[in-house]
Amino acid sequence: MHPIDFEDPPKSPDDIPLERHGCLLLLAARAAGAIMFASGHPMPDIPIFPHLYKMFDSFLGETHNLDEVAYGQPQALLDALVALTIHSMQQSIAVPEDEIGFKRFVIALTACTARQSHAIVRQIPATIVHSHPSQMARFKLIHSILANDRLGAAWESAISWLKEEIIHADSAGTVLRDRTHSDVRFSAHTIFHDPVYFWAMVPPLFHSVKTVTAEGLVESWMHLIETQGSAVHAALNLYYLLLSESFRTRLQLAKTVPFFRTQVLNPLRKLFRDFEADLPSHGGDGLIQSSVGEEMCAIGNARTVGVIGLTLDQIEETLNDVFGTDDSDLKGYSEDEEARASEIRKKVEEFERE
Amino acid sequence: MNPDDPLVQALPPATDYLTYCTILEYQLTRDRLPLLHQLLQDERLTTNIGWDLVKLLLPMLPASTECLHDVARLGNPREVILRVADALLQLNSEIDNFEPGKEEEVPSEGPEPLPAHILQFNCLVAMLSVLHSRIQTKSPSRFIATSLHAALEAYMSMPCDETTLSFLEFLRDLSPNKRPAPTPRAPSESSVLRVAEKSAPDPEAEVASPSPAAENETALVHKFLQFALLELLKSYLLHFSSPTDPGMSWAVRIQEHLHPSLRMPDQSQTEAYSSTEELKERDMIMGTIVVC
Repeated sequence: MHPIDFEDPPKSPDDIPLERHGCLLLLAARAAGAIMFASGHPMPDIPIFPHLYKMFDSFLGETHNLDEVAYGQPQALLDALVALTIHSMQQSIAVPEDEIGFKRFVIALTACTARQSHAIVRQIPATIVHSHPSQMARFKLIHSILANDRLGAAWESAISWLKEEIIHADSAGTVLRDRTHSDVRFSAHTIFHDPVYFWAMVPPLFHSVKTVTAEGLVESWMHLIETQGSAVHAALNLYYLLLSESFRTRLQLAKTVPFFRTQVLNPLRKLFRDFEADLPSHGGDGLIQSSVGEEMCAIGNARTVGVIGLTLDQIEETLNDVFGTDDSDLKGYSEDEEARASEIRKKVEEFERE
Repeated sequence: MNPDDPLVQALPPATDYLTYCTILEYQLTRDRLPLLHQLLQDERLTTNIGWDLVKLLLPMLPASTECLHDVARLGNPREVILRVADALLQLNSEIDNFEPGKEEEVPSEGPEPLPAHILQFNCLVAMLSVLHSRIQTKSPSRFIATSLHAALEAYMSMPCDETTLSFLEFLRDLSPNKRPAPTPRAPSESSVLRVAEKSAPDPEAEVASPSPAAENETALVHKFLQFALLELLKSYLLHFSSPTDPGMSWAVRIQEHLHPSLRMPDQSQTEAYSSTEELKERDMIMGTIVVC
């Protein structure tokens, strides 16, 4: 039955409800018209914090599973929310009232843009992330996303934000978009250039590796190819980038090498050897091939396993060249540094529990 | 007019109105529609039988368009409006039995033949526009609620550019702040029906004087129209919201507009929406909705 099908005719305009999804869509249509066609129709001010954030919360609820939003909500709704976000971004972005709201909004916005094939839209959450004036808030946000099993669909995005914080920060610690490495001025002002903060971020950075290497053969292959491959590759690419002389010195990357070799490189190598050994052409049982089909198996191996394998080769070669092959030669973190890193992780864990 | 034609010979007072309606059911063919159109210029006749002709004439669209317009202009508006609403609600159930590809496509005056159910919807809402302009009542909101309910139920089963524009035209006609019709800009606008001929006054007119109750009625009408517009917008956007359809692509187009250097030349949605007729029409319709 339609809401307009009243048994008792309404006596007052207040008795006629205006459907809120329709209201949102109309607002988005106006915003789009105002920007693209200079329609001149007045648009209310909708600052991202607190108003737009409340709209996201109202229409999407708290986002625990990005795929539920990306694939479960009508595309028109997601498009409208993102369009309104872009409209609101034309004004300066206010400081969020609290970090939890900031985190929830970024996650919801990332979910809304996850299905977009256009990078120009997928990069919108990054602008929100980097707009927060507190480096610690940004650090906690990125860490909490990377550390959360349920937010795997946002890991690749979070790694991209981390990369931008590290690579593109200026001397004031502000992330500048569209800059190159040569624009970086190392500064004590950004915690993203602090080696202990970086060490606190390393385990969650490679959470995707832990996820794909913890399962059975076929499950690992499926997760790597279907969901986690891009996050694994992004994490490895970032690590490889940071092996350049300026960053590895600044971030004291040498101290992370034992972790990387034992928790990332070796498990992935073993996994890929297991994949290869499973191939019927290598005398294997063909478990993966019989689960997904020969063609899919070949495509997955070429596009994902092969590409990640090449990146691993590059990283391993550079590590060996720069740091040698014996981890016992490398200086680890001091007790003081480990204590600091532990404090940082505790702060983030308190934030993640909220 | 052929005086020997059964429809002429049986005209009241030769028969009563009920008998005449029965004769029409058996004798009315497409060939006789021009004759019926002439006969329906008799306001007294149309007032008495018009409400009964809606169901009979609807399946004969578009040939019966003029006759249906006569019914709207000259029939008893309070009775005809109920029949039109009924027809809209039944239009919905007919669509449930509709099998794409099997319905006979009736040629329309537009560039492409429209399916019968769309022709019927467009005609019925055009009739509602005329009928509502004729009804003089202290409680217009009650009539509007009935009409909007029926029109929305039918529309939601067949949202497309043609029905959307027809519905928007209807909402525009109902608006207390009615503005002149915009200049047609898109092919689908040719399917919107507008009745230019003069209508008869409401035989049961109630005179409303300025009062708080009258102001409340105006506010109620306004709110009903807002409600209907939002429901229409939702249905319209959802009907092309699928994995393979670009929808309105607002986000990507706004970004391309604000950052033209980031536009991918061979994948630009801005280009697609300015060069593809179907997508251009969506923008045009959204523009109409926003100013409604």
